[in-house]
Amino acid sequence: MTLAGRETSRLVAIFATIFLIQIAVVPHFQLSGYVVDLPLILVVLVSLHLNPPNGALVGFLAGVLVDLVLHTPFGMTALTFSLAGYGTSSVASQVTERNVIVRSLTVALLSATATALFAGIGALIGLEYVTRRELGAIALVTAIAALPSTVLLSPLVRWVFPLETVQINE
Amino acid sequence: MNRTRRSRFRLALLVLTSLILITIDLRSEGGVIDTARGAVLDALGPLRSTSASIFEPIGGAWEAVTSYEELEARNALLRAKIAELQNSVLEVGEIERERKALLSLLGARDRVAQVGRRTARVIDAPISNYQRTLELDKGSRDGLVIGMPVETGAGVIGRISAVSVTRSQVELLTDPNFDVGVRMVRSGDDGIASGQGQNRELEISFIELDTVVIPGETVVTSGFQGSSFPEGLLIGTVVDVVPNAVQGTQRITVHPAADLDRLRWVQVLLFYPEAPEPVIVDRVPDDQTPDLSSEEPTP
Repeated sequence: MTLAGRETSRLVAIFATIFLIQIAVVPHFQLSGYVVDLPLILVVLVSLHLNPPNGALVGFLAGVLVDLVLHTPFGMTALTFSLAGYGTSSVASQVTERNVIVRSLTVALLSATATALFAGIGALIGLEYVTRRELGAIALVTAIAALPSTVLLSPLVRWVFPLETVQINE
Repeated sequence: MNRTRRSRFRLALLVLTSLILITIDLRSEGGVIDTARGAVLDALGPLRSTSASIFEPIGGAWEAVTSYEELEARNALLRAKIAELQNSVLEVGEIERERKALLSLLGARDRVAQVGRRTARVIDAPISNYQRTLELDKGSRDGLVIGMPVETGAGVIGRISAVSVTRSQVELLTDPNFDVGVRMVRSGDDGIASGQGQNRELEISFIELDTVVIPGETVVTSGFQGSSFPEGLLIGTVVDVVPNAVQGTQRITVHPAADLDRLRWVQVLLFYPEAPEPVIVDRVPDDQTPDLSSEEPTP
């Protein structure tokens, strides 16, 4: 499916809001000392409704936005999010859209995988940010946070894609 | 089939663009990307400051609920530390007096004392789990430039890594990109201390096998010419020494002196490193230089 003008503008609004929440509110409410990555969870959740190229594109643009406020090499988040978007859209047809538990678990698993992917890309370019133990903890925190986040963010995603209930697989 | 190929092509294009952006950012300094990041830092600065003053107390309460046991253990540790420090205050005062007397005898300058400082408020609200940087409410209009050392009363915490007009970011000394020239106080040997990641100790390399290093030894900055740190800033204390006979060096683990958690105020040292002396290349004396102008042109 291609993104219509209304869907695009609503997506921009949602990502801008989540981005502001991420930089202003989320860092003050850490789980076991780790920050919840809301933009990543949103990319995964939105990509469930998109085809793989659009999932990758939305992930890339959201990643560029996040890269602007991070100290990590510019483009690393964009790369991670675009791969996460593409991967999620590719498996989206396997997910039962109406079942919130399956969807939450899928988002949790994919978000945890994507956050580990970021560390992997960092290691590939010689930047080892965390130990394996810390990486496990970060992935776990991301997965746990993704469960309630999916429930909370789902109405917003339904607002973006009101007519569609099942992802159109190409 | 065609659609799958096209979709993969678009993904490849995005991956390639990301890789180009990463390469540009890693290879250039002060380019378009840094300017854009600086502008965003300035624009979001007031929001971050306001949200920090609103959510920090709530976040503190949240932390007390989620990690009560950890806070209790930290409290006990701090109480023990205070008792220990109270015992050493008198000792330190005596050492400081002796140091100043020796410096005046030698006619040396106390460089660290002469360096100007700028106090800045810390907004410790990391956005990512992978690289913890602190944000300061001072920027280039307050005289801050990239590379300036940042410390608390306890020791060095890092260096300025990005500066916008009103804001700046601090790269912590535990960051994997952080390197600084250091000196072992006991032996006077110099090495390089490198960050190993968040919540991990520093590692010092290039200390030879025959140098005696003992746990508890103090490590300070060496302040080599051209270094962005003046000499004598406290980095930390040695906690472990592992000799590496193959490389002929020792792997020294250092615990940072400054507590990198819960920072509220820090001092930026307005230190401008001296430019390294130019390398003097041996020249051929003028009288031995062949006079090419007098040579006959080749036909």
